[in-house]
Amino acid sequence: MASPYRQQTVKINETTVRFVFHWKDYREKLFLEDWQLMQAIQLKNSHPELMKRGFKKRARSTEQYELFYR
Amino acid sequence: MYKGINPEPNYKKFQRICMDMLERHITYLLKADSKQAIEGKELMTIKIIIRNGYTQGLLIEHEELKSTVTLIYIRISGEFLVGRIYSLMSYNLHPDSAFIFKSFAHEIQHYIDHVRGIYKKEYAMKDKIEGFMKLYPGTWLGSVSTIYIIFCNLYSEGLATFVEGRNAARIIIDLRHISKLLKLLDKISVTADHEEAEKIYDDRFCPSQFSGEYYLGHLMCCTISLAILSRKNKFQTVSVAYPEHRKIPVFELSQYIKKHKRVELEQFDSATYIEGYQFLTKINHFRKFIRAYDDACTELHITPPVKFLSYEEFDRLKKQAIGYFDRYEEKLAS
Repeated sequence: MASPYRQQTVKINETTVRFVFHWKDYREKLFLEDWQLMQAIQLKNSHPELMKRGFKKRARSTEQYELFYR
Repeated sequence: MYKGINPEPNYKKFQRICMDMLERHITYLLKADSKQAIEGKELMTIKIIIRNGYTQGLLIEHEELKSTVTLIYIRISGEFLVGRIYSLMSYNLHPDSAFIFKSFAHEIQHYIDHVRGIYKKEYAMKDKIEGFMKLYPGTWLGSVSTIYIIFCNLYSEGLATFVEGRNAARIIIDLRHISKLLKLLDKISVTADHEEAEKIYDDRFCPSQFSGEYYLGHLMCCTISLAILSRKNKFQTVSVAYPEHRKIPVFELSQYIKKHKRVELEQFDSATYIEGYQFLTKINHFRKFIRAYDDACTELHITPPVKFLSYEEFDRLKKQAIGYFDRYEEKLAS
């Protein structure tokens, strides 16, 4: 698993900007679940009929679906 | 499978791509539109916490309690990153840069407001209300804090939405939507139960950032900017994109909106936006913001219902919400 923490420094004009990312609350398991959701959305776009039957089971909620497309 | 591509999810790759993309987008913003955030500082830290947005009802947020003068603390939903960056790039598509820019421009504006001390006043009032609750335990406060937060947000969220909308194509003025929001605001102010008031706010008044105080505050910022423009040139026109493509004199805008109910304006030019922004960032309290909007409407001959808020109306709603003792006693008696 990649480090849950990363720092990188960028110089912008006179300012040194340090980026710090924390991943500990978003581990691989959650990522894979969300990836499945995205596949479901992809399916909805390409196979609308299939999605009518299957989408709701795979997506955690319609709100979550809208999160990506609003 | 899309366009013959069937990518396998890879968590390490996902992290690397998202961090690279966020760094690039934020760096661009800090060099251009949001440069006030770093001006005059030697070192600035941008801390980004990736969370499970679904369980926390989160898309992206700036945390005022953790940000300092040299630290911007932002929480972002992992789904946001999967949906707007990684999945698109896995299919050899571009990341959704427009959405990333607008989201971060909005949150960085909150950081700028935080450093300006805008939220200190909000927290002071929250403390006051909480202090009252401790002093009178069990006393029901109805919708006072909900109404108070809505008016605070009118300025802070309105300004942040104005900033994120800088590159948006249109400004949408929808009288039916405004009327619906005003009715809900009135309903919240007379709602006896605090939790019920919060529920109306969350579910109906402001279910997304295209509604509630985000929408109303943004329109107020746009009106104020137009008034600044009209002071310089009284023959100023605005470009209408819907329901028809035409230019109309700025002083006829109110009548035009009343006639068509829903009007979409072309985005302001850069100079208007910058002047508007400079004026708006000199305001340091939502009461002054409401007064500025009131004055702008008078200058532009904008009358109700296109003018949807005035200082008198704010006062009426506030008094209506504060009249909770009467309603509390009524509730007890019933």
